[in-house]
Amino acid sequence: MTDFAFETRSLRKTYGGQPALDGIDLTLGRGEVLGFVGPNGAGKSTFIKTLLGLVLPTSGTATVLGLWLREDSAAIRARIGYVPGDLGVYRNWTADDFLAFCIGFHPRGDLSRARAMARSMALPLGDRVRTYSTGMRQKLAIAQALCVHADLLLLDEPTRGLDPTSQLEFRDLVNAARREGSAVLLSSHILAEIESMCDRLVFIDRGRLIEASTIEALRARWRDRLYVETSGGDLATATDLPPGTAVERDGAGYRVSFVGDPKPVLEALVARGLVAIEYNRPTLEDLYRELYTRERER
Amino acid sequence: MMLRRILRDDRWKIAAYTAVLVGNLVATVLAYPTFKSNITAIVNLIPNFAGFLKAVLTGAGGDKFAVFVALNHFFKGANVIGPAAAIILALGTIVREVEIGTIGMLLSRPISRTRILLSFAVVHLLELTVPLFVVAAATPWLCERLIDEAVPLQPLLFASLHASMFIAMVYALSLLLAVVLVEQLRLAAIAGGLCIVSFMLYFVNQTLPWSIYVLSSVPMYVDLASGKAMPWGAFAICAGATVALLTTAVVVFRRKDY
Repeated sequence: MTDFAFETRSLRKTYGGQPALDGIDLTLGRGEVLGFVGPNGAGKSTFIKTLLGLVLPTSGTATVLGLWLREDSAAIRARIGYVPGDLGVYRNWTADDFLAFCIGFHPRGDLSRARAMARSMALPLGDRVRTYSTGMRQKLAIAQALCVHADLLLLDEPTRGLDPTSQLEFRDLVNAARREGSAVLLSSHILAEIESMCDRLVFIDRGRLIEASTIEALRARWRDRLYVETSGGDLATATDLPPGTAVERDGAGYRVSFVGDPKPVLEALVARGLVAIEYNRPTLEDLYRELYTRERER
Repeated sequence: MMLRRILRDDRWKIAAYTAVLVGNLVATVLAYPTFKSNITAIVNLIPNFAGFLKAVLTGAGGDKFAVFVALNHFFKGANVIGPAAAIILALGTIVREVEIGTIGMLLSRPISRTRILLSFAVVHLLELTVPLFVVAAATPWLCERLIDEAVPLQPLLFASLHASMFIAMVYALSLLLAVVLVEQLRLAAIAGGLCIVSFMLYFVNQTLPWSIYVLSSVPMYVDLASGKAMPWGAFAICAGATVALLTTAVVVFRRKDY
């Protein structure tokens, strides 16, 4: 049995000659949570739909849970939980009908668990789905996906429309699924959510992977930023700072950025009469901005 | 799961379809005594009636009442009501799922696309044809009760078989459109338009050969009601077209991105 929940090789999908996926090589380990980040139209949903068999790849290969995507699509889906970003519903059905329908197809589906989960999320199961708000529909989508004992969860903007409390509950539910051994592919525009839940990140743009790494490895490459005030002359023209250190004037102080070991930078600043210092930990937003600015400039 | 869901979605449509078929039959039967007493006047009113119709009206073509029922119930009734029901049922398949955004949820279930489409097709074809046979089977009893006229059952069942295959062909075409198109309104306009135009073409001698209703025509039902053989040639064309259209629908559906 393969160690990967999925593995794609040169996966490509074109629409009228335009690539929506442009040679994606990507793996997801079993029990791993992979964050999928990118602007609108980057190809995130297309990739997820390809793994589900909703979109047929133009070329390339993919195995999901050890099965070939092209040959075993239905068998693969039996082991996948899927939350779409925008859940379409049969408007005249009750929420309970909807759960029963979605879960009834899955050999390992647990309807009573889904009902319990829906109730814990304050969903009135007897009401028609047409009366549900966007957030309530999203909760319904989450309940049906997390109660099929899936080996792989494909979550496409799962917290769209959810209130903050429900978002936190969602994280707990996904963490519980992960503890049970599910691998998770999480596509989201909420970077804080990605940062807090994922082991590894993938950045995608115009159908191409532009970065794939762990958050810690990415952070190690980011420029740390300090705001400092010194008493020892103009820091912007200083020549005694370690190589690679950038300095910009900002009001009464300076913004200092550097890569790697902070010790020589701090020593140089102390030697220049450091009077105030503030450390700005780089966030995923900083990296996102930096990566996509660089990508757009290409 | 799939079958239960389709049956559940269609229950009122099928009840309405059956009710319209029964209503059409009852109206036909009840209209017969008046029609019978005015046959001579009708024939004289329109001297250029086609020969076969004249034969029907004057009784030379076999059982007048059976022919009257067959023409009204099958040519005028089933040929119009059936295709309309077929289009309405096809509207509730893939094109509807695409339009309301549920296609992703449906296709992400562990069931093959072929099975999804064939589930729709099999259930809908049964829903379209079983009421036709049931109503036909009840016709002799109804005729006797309402106007004390006898009508043989066997020709009615053969007529039902032929009308069913014609309706199946229209359904298969509608299902193919339901796979190809993304808007229910377009499907209704194209398939409905085709049937209406075709029905109009049938009544003009010069354009009659271009109508799909030549495959389920007046002479065929007159012959059937008169105890003649099934029009197996037309039946085979309808059956072949149905199979070809359904196969095309499956192939297109399997290759389409959603």
